[in-house]
Amino acid sequence: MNCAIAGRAGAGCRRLVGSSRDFSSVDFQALFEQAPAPYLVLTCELRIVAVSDAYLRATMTERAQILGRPLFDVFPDNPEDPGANGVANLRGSLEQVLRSGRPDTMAVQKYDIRRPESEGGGFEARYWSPHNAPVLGPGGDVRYVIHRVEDVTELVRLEQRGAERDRQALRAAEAKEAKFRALLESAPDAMVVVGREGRIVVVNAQTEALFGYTREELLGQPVELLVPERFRRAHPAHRAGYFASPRVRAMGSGLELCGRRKDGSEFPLEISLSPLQTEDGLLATSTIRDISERKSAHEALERARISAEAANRELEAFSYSVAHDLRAPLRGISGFSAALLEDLAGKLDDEAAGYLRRIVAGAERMAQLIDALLGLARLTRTELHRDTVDLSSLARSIADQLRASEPERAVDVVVAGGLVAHGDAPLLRVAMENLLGNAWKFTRKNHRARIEFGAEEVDGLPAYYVRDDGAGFDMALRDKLFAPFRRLHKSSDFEGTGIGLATVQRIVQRHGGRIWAEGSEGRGATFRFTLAGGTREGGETPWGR
Amino acid sequence: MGPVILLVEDSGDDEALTLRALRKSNVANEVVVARDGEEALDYLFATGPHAGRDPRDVPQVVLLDLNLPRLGGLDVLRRIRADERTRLLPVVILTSSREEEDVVHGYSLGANSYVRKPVDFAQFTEAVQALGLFWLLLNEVAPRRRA
Repeated sequence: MNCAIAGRAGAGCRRLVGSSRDFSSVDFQALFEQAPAPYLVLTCELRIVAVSDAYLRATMTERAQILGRPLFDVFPDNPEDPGANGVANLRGSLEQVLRSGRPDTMAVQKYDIRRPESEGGGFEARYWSPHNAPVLGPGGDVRYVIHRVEDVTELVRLEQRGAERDRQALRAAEAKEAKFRALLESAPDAMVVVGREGRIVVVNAQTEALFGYTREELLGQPVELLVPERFRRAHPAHRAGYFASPRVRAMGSGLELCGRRKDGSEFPLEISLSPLQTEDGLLATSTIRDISERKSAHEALERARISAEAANRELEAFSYSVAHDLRAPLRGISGFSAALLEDLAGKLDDEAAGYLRRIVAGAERMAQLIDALLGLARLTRTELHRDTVDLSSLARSIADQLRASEPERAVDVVVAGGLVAHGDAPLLRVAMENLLGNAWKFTRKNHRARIEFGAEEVDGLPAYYVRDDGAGFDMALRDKLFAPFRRLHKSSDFEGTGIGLATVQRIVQRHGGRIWAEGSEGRGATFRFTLAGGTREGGETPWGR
Repeated sequence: MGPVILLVEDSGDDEALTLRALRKSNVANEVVVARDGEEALDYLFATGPHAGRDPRDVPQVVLLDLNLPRLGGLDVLRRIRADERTRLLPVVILTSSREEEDVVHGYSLGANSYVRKPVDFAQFTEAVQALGLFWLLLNEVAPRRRA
């Protein structure tokens, strides 16, 4: 049945076939040596007395080299493997067999074998499954020990690789779990994972802190534990609804949600839900955020806003009535002074008439200031109606008016085309009239003046600008430009109420924009404004740059 | 002397200045002054202290201040327009600020015009011209030149 054996023991075989009961001529040595399993026969002194070919092949040895030699001379431990214990284990087993006269099956051993010099020398890692059996004499004494091994290196290696894979997979799973855990625990929000039946599966530390329960008190409990009593009955239906169409969404959007702590107190919260598909089925993860602080901050802000608005309205009403009431005596002062001038014409000397004229002029100037103040107050009172406003054509029409008012002046007005804004048309006209009017006024001393209107992008928003090459201003005073009644020029140089830029600023702010200026004395000024973003409508925050 | 002008004005200063302006504008009509809204209505409808006056004898024009004690100028105007006898009576509102001009525009209660205080000749002339009252009110004597 085996060609290799048949080749070597062909004659013996034939004889066996010829006379099946005659064993006297059986070549037992050949049978032993060519047995398909690795055998080694040892004396009681553990010297090698016989060995099978299979053994020689498995251990890469030759019969002549090992016969008669002590076992452990031939097969020492691998000196490079500090953990090698094959010699000790094998000796232990063999000695036990010698002592007891009974066979012993050893556990799988790592027992490295010496590689022949022809194959590079050194040791080769091997795993063996050894079995030691005594050969007893007629008196029951142990005469030899048969040592049979099975080379299980491949098997062990396979197992090791599998185990390594398992270990790696396990480690990865553990790492993932730990990461998930850490993430869950470090989340700033409370997280509660709930199963289809509404029982709490997972909670994090924030949940404990927020609701005042320990983890143990929560796990396995119905999630309704965290819901205020008055909402508990309705909650399971909502929950079922969520599991019926699970998707990432906010819970009860638009509603004011409340949570219930262990002590029965309630707090406002925000919940977002997301489905989680797991081996155990569909779970719902709810991320819960306590919004009491945000809510109270919001409420405080709202209260502040309302009281600021009320104060603003009061102030406007006050300034309106003050302005109005101030105007009445003014009419008397200027009217009667004018009447005196008229009625006493020719009877007053020049000095007295001059005083009366000063009184009239003073009263008129004051009336102008009051009108300007009223106008400014009105700006904050009237509602803003946003519409599409063609700033370019607005600028052109204002420039035409200015040219018509002083046709003798040489002013180049350059208006960029196609600038369209979204704002209140009458208010924007007032703003543009003031800015272009200022540019016109403060270039009066130029032999030839240039005024530009255009836009450029600042912080992603269009910033419109009015630039002139006129009198300019001292940049150190730029914060004062927009304060009402603050004038940076002598009125003998440039007339004005000092309310124009304050008015423009108010208009720009009401549009949610901001205005700022650049310039230097004698070298012109540039006013830039945006109409959206920045400060809130009606905000009074001054900004400097 | 033509029909009267009713001036509804509570401020003595403004009254004096307005009367002066009218005089200077050569308005020769008699000016009746009412100090508040109720007095104005009493005059117009011949009630109270003015009972016995013939209410069909309506003024040529009413100069009506808006800021009046008790019954305000706009209420007076509303009452004037609501009554058949005075529905078509020309009313010029006296305003003391641009704010009030806006109010007059906004209410459109049937004011025929407005004049800003203190009443100055030019503005007043414009108003009465717009009302077609020019020749009735202004006693301007055109220089007669006879060839």
